[in-house]
Amino acid sequence: MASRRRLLPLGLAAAFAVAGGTAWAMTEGGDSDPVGPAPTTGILAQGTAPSGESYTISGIDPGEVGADPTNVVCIEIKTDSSRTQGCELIPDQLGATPGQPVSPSMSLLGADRFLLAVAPPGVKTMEVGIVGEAKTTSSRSLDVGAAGKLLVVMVGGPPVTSRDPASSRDYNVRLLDADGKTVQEATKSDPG
Amino acid sequence: MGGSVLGIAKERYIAAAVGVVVAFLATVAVAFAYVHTTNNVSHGLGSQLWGHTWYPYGVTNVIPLPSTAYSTAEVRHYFDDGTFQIQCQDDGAGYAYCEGDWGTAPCQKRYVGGANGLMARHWVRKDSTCAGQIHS
Repeated sequence: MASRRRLLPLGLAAAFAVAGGTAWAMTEGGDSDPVGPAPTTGILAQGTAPSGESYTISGIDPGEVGADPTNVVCIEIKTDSSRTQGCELIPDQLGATPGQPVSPSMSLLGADRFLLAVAPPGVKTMEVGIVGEAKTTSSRSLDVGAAGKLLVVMVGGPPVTSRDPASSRDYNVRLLDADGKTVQEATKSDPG
Repeated sequence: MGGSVLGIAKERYIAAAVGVVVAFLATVAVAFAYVHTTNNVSHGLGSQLWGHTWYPYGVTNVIPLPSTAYSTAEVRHYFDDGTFQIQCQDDGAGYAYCEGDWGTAPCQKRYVGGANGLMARHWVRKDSTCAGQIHS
């Protein structure tokens, strides 16, 4: 009985310390780091993804993730099962040498792949084809204000799993001008 | 006699205080392992609270944003045999965030990483069901 009395204050103190430490770490410890999704500013597009899940593409204020709005466009993609957020470089703000290729970004949400790029000057559409297959998918164009147009291509496929190496695929990405001529090409791959 | 009792009481309070400090620091250290900065790349994982449901996510942010630095964030479900399914993945300029759900696999393991030499493959896990180190 006496030993229990001695242990009780220690146990209570340890419990309070753990609770206090957790609370402090969650509220203060990561104060300067991104912990959680950035808030969205408005819906850019909605529809049904190739998998059949609904999707919503929304804008994000680049300042919310510490980025310069003159350099990038930031967006969120949300489906029924997943959500991603990321930023795309604005090509004419790169200050790069002429001809430097634009690097499209890619988001995998369940079985749906979203390939995105801010259209460089002169580019009207983006086409994506799975390597080894003839079929290509053309982009839809979203207005992203002063940055111009965000080109988005959705491609369906199997969920990526290490149990099936074929579930991870490569994609040919082509940026086309108004005449359908290829301006730039890039390759993207599923993770895994 | 009075001094002896006082001494014992002091020792107990000191022991309790040491216990409090150790528990606090240990808890904070574990929590810090989830979101922190390495090589100027802020990265980590967490569980987003929506009502009573927690969602796993991975996040990476390169601060300040180099114009050509791409980040990636990824959430994987690992099974007992070591195989995995990628639930979501995102790459982008500087900032990448990926949020999924808990799925049915026993282990949640989340990959966050920067590119262009800022940071190589970098793993963080949260659940004790995942084999290996919590942060590697």
